[in-house]
Formats: sequence, C-alpha cells, structure tokens
Amino acid sequence: MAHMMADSSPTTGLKQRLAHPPTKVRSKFVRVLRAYPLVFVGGLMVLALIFVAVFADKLATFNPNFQFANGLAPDGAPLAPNHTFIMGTDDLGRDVYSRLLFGARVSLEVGVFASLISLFIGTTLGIISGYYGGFVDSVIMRITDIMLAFPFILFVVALVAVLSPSISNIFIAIGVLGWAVTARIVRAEVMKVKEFEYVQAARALGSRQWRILFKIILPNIMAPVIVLTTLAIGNNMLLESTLSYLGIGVQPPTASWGSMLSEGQQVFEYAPWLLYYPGLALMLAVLGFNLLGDGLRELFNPRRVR
Amino acid sequence: MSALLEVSGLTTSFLTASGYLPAIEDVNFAIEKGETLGIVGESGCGKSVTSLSIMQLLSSNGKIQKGSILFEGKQLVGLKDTSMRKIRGNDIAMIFQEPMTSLNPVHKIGKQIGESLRIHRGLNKEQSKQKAVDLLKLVGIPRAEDIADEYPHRLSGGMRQRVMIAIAMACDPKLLIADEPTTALDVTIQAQILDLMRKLKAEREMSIMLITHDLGVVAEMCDRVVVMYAGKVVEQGDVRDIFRKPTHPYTIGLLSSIPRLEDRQQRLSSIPGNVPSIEVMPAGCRFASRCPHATQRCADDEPSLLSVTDNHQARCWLVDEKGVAV
Amino acid sequence: MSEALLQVRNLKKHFPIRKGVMRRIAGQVRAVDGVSFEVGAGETFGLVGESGCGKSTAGRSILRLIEPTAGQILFGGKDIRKLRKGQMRLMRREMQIVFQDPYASLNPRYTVRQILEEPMIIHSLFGSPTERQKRVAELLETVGLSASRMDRYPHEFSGGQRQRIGIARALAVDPKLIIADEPVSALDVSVQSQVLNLLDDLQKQLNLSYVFIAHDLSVVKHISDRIGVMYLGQIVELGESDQLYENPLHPYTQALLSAVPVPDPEVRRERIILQGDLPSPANPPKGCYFHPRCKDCMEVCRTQAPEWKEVKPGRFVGCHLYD
Repeated sequence: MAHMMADSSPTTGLKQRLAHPPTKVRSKFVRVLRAYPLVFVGGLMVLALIFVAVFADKLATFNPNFQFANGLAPDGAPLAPNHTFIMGTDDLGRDVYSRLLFGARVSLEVGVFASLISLFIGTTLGIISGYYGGFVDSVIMRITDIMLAFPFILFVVALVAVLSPSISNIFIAIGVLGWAVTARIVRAEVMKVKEFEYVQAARALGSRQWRILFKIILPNIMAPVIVLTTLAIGNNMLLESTLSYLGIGVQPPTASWGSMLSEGQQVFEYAPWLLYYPGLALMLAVLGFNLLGDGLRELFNPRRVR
Repeated sequence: MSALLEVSGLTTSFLTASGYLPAIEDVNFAIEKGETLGIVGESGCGKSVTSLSIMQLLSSNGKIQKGSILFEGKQLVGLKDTSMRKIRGNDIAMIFQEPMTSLNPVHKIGKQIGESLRIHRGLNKEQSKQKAVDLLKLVGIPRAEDIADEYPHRLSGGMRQRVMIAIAMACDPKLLIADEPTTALDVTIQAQILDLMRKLKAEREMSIMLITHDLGVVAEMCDRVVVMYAGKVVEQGDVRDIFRKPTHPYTIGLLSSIPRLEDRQQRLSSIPGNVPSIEVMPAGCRFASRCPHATQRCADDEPSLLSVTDNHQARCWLVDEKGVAV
Repeated sequence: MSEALLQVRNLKKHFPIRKGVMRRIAGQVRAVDGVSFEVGAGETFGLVGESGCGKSTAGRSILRLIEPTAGQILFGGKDIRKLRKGQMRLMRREMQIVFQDPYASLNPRYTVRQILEEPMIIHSLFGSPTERQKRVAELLETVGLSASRMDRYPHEFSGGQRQRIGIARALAVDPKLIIADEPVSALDVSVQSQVLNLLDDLQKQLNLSYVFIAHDLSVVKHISDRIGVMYLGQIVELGESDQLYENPLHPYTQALLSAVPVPDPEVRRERIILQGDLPSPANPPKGCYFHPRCKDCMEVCRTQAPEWKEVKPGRFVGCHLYD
C-alpha cells in the first residue's frame, strides 16, 4: 500500500489522514499493459522470433539442406504438409519447416546487424551535425539528402553485387547505406536537447565537450532512436528477403525466407505452401517489430502514460 | 437580483493512476451582472479547472461529478454539446494565457474574428469582415483594415492578446472568462491590456471572471475575490476585505510573501512546504500542514466556509473560535 | 566600493541574420549592445527589463555560454574573454548560473545525487565516493532539502524544490559569483519567497555576489543592492535600488515602474501607459532607441543617441533630458 497518511507538517508535525484514500494503485507495468496491450503482443512476437532463431538447430526436425529421397512425390513434385514433413517439402525434397527455422536466423541476423550499423553511423553523424552545426552540419545533411534521394534498393543491390553476396555483406550493405533517417532524427533531437538548460548548466560547470555529448545529450535522445531502430529491424528483414528473392541475397543452399519465396514461386501453382509459410513468417516478424516499435514510441512519450 | 452565473457544489475529477480524483471540490461562488470576480490561487489550486468546467471544455479524462452551474438561471451541467456551443463564444467568451497558441496560424486575423459572427449571428462574409475591422478598432489595434488581412505570426504578443479579446468581444458576451490573460505579457503590455479590459467592461456592462495568480492584478481589476487552495475555495469576499482583513492563514501568507516595490523589506515572509498533490490530499483542512495556527481539530475535520462578515467567508476554524457568526 | 569582483565593459553580442542558400549575412540582431556595470563582492546587481531586452543574453555572455561579440569581462581583474579553453574551464568554478525553468534545467535521467556529483567529477573535487556523498548531503541541507532524497529523480520534486537543487548544483563548486537568470519567475508566490530568502541567506553565509536577472521589478528591487534597467540591448539607467525606485530618471524606468500593479485595492498609482511594442533589435530606431515610445521625446532624441553619464555619484542614465 502506498502512503495512507499525507506528509506530516514541517511546522506543526500534525499528521493527517488522506481525503481520498487510494483505491487501487496499479503498478506501472499493469498500467502500460492496459493502455498499450499491443506492445506486449509485439514484444512476444519478437521474443518468439529470437527464440526460434537461436534454437533453430534444436527445434528443427531435419537438416534444412538435406534433399530427402522420400521428400518428393513419385512424379517429382514437392510433398504437401504431412506427419513427417509438417510444413511439407520443397521442390528439391527439403523440409520446409526446418528451412523456415534456419531462415529465421538469417533474417534476424541481417535485420539486427544492419540496423546496428545504421544506428552507429547515423547516431554519430547526427550528433556531430546537430551539436556543431554550421558548415559540418551542412555537409553531413547534404550527404544525407543524397542518400535519401537515391532509390535505396538499387543502391544496396549495386553494393552487394560489388561485395559479392553473403550474409555479412548483405547486412553491411544495408547498414552502411541505411543510416540517413537515423542521422536526421538524431540531429533534430540533439538540436532540441542541446538548448535545454541542463546542457547549458553542464557547459557552465566546465564539462568537456565529449562529456556533454555522450553523458548528457546521448542518453536524452535515445528514446526515439530506439524506436526507430526497432522499426528498422523489421524493415531490414524485409529488405533481406527482397534481396534473396531477387537472387542477390543469401546464396543456395542456405535457407532464407526471401530465397524460399523465390524458389517456391516457380512451383506455386501446385505447391502453394512453399509461399504460405515463409510469407506468413515474414509478415509476422515484421509486424512484431512494428507493433513493438510503435508501442515503445507511446511508452517513451511522457505525456501519454498515466 | 439573481446572479449572472451561479456555481454551487461544483466537483470536477480527473482520471489518475488511482482512479478519478477531484481537482476541485465543492466550489461555490456567484458573479453578478457588471461585476469582476477574481479567482486567485497558485498553480494546482484548481482555478483553471473551474473555468474549463464552466465552459464545458474539460479534457477527455476529466468530468464534472457533482454540482450545478447556473447561467442566467439555465443549468449548464449536463447540457448537450450543441446547446453548449450556442452559449460558448456567444454569451460566455473566454481568453487564455497564451496568445501565441490560441490563434490559428493558417487563417487571417479578420477571418478568425469573423468566425463566431458567422456561426452565432449568421452574418455573411462581407458583413463579418466589416465587423471584424470594427472590433479590431475597438481593442485599439492601429491600421485595423490592414491587420485584418494579416496572419497571426506578424503580430507581437500584446497585439495577439488584443486580437483574442476582439474575438471574445465579437458577440457581445455577457460574461468574459479571462484565464491568466496577462501572465505571458510584459508589465508595460499588461498595463495596456488591463486598461483595455476595464474600458470594455465599463462600455458593455459585461461581467468578467478573472483568473490569475497575481495579487497586484486582482487588486487593480476586481470587485470581489475568491481565493482557492488545493481545489477548494478557502476565502471569498470584497476585494477590500480580502486585502485589508485577510482571514484565512493562506490568504494572509500569500499577501505577505509578495515583495512590494514601495517597502524596504529585509526578509520576505513565506509559507513553508508545498501544496499537497491531488493523490495525497489530506482529510481535514488542506492547508493545515503549512499553517502556523493549525491544531488537532484542523488536522481531523475540514471547516466549511464560515462567515466573517455578511459577504466575507473563510474556510478556517479560527473564524469559529474568534466567536464570529457562523 | 572596493575593487569590483566583476566588471563588464561595453559588452556586445550581435547575432548575424543569415539569408538565402549561401547563408550570407543580411543583418545583425543587436541583442546586447554595449552594456557596462560592476558587481562587488557580496553584492547583488539586478538586471531588469522586458522580454527581448537582452538581459538573459547578457547574463550568458558574461559566462561565455554565448561567445560575446565585443567588450571586456573582468573577473577579479582578469579578462575572461582572453582565457583559453582550459583556463576558462577552471574559471567556471568561480562563476555559476541558476536558470529559470526548474523543469528544463535538471537532467531528467540523472538522480539528484548524480546531478550534484557531476560538478565535483568535472573538477576532480572530493576524490572518494564517500566524500562526494557527504558533500552532496551537505549541499542539499544548505538549500533546505532532506539528504535522504538524494537518490530520487528531478520529476519527483516540486518546482520550488527543483530550483533549490539547481542552486545546490551551482554551489557545488564553491563559486564567488552566481548569475541568476529569472530564478523565481516560474514559481508560485509563496514558493518564490522561500527561494528569494534562501538566496539571501546563502549570500550572507558564503559572501556570494549575484547578478540577478528578472523581469519582475518588485522581485529585483527586493533582492538587489543596485539595479540596471535594460531596454533593447542597452542599460538605460543604473543606480542603487531604493533611489532608482523612489526617483526614476529615465522615462522608460518611470513607465516600467508605474505599470507594476499594486497589490492594494485602495492605492492607485498614476500610470504611464507606453504606446506600441518593443521595436526589433535587428532594426533599432535611430537616435535614442526609446524615442518612438517616449512621452518626453525631444527633437534631439530622434537623431542622436544619448550619452551614458553619471548624473549623481553612483547614478547613471542615458537620456537627453539630463544633458
């Protein structure tokens, strides 16, 4: 129970009861859950995805790349979902369920690492741009404009082509090219926060610049950046699928949701499950990150949570 | 004569983490025709909630739980929104503290003034434009014709507050609610605006409900004063009585803690402690924890508004103990 | 007065107005346009004026939080504008600032203890954590807060209490001078008087000097020994606070004083209502900056800027009426 008594008086020491004893003081967790149930739905979806990706080798029923002789119908067609292959097989007789689990690993890896690279570059440039202003700011912001003006996917395709496709090259390409939005948001936040009087106070106290930037400004701009990064993970997962679908992503036989979609498309007419499962997985994963990100945005907004 | 506005037993609550809690409780006062009533108090005392309750402009997490608001004998509590809209801006107008955000930046000033005339008086575009220019002249804006065609960002804070007053005056309201109308303005501009309000009130026989924390403004503008503390009326009376014979220890403390230009005070007296927050509002007298005269009785029981004289009341047991008529 | 602790001489801060793609300088906002005053040890100098008069900019320029455009700032006889970065950092221990907004001036992500330890860490005072904690407790008690609350966050305190925390932070480095920029304007009257009394007590205990910046004349007059009245980037009148109040010389000071509402319904002060608004500091009027709004405007005022002169010992005014 919170306090049933009001603060006692500094002058007289009189103790008073409360006029309106609190009926129910809910914990912040419960209040947030009630106000934004979708944060938790999103959070659970993301947790489930992480779980699946981490324990893919334990959860998988088969080797994802093994081409089963009994995985194809006598006419060579993929098998529909059945007792052995719960999500069916693909046109090479591989287990779709196992490939899906290992594909989650690739998707998540690319989504997370690409976003972290963007986060790092975008935050660094954004802080420099926002804090120092002037000529440096103009240069960084013009580069940002250029990055945003180019069709992003073409940029990434070109870079991956130069680097040769591999998981690490994909997330490097996406990350190195995808920092522009982060940089802009960080810059705007820094410009706002640096005018706050507590930053002026730190300067007046003689703080060195790095201290002001990293110990005072940075923690105060992280909220929108975390939201943005969460949303970006979902987007980058989608992007990986696009690249794999286009054939310049993950190379066979490695499973990825994008490559599964690309391969499944050729036999879609008589084996639709080859599109349903990876498509559904991709949709749920991206949805999870978006719900989580939107929810976090609400949570970090001090005016919204009562 | 019945009062223009009569508020009785008004209780407005807001949804908090621990359910609905009252921001104002059992507020009673009346405004006569042609009178300026001051509502004074510090932040969190409920003075703005009172005015928003009267206008029925509470945010979605607030609601009037009890009480009545009679305007010219008509009950406003529970009135349908469509009927309330006919009163708002027509019979009762309101001006706010922040002249920067209360004007719409994308509409011309003339159009904004004319809007309530088109809604309430059914004037057409030409007529409302002409009336808008007249109103701008009324509130002392130079080059009224040109200003009517400008956007709000071209005006200074003082000018915008004049425009707000012009909007409020458009339909000849019987009651003007002014919520901290000069708080955001500099003293020299404040003097201009107060002057204007006094002039308009005299010309139009309007009543004013002036909400402010500035006792200087109250002394200058008001006929009667309601002092609020922690959601309750703690004292009310004639402006002279409040300033000459303040009775509630809070009013006394407030009056003695303002630095005065004409005195040489070595040290200001001050009220110790802070206003209790809505979640931990004490039973008994709400001022007891900060009061130099508090007794056990104050801690346990809340006094009602007790009469000091015929039209001067204070919510304090001291009135009772001094043997003054209850 | 003996050797002044702070001497400000002809301080100027002009902000360039930039226009167009090339960000070419199209004009200057003369936020502070030649301000001079002195503050002695243990003295309070009040800087009063309406919004946009440049009083806050002046305050921050003195601390070089904003780099001044011109002028001298002598602190203990040393021109701090000539100090290099490292020297300036050391100098910051001597002069501190208290801000207006008790909400924006404390880092919301730090506890009160962290906020108060920060200056000690920056200047490597009180090496050990226990010593620092002792000092934090001491500081909180000095400003009238309970040390038991040091691990709470700013939002758990009321406005007045936060302002006390802000004062404690300024005191953490043992400064000689505090620039108080509207320290009580965001507070309620009853709390305002608590904070004013605290500032008074601290001054006596620690022999602090204050530059007290505010728009509220009653507050400034209450706390200050001497006052400078600012208008459009300049000090138009300066003198001892009682004298300035009793016998204002500059027509602007007269208008300003007469505009303050008296908290007494039976006193009516004769009011000089100023016409019009403050001109833009980017394009100040010719001659005396105040002439378009002045009730005593003469021909000479329109063309010639008045000289800043001492009309009585310690009493300065910039107005042609006193030529």
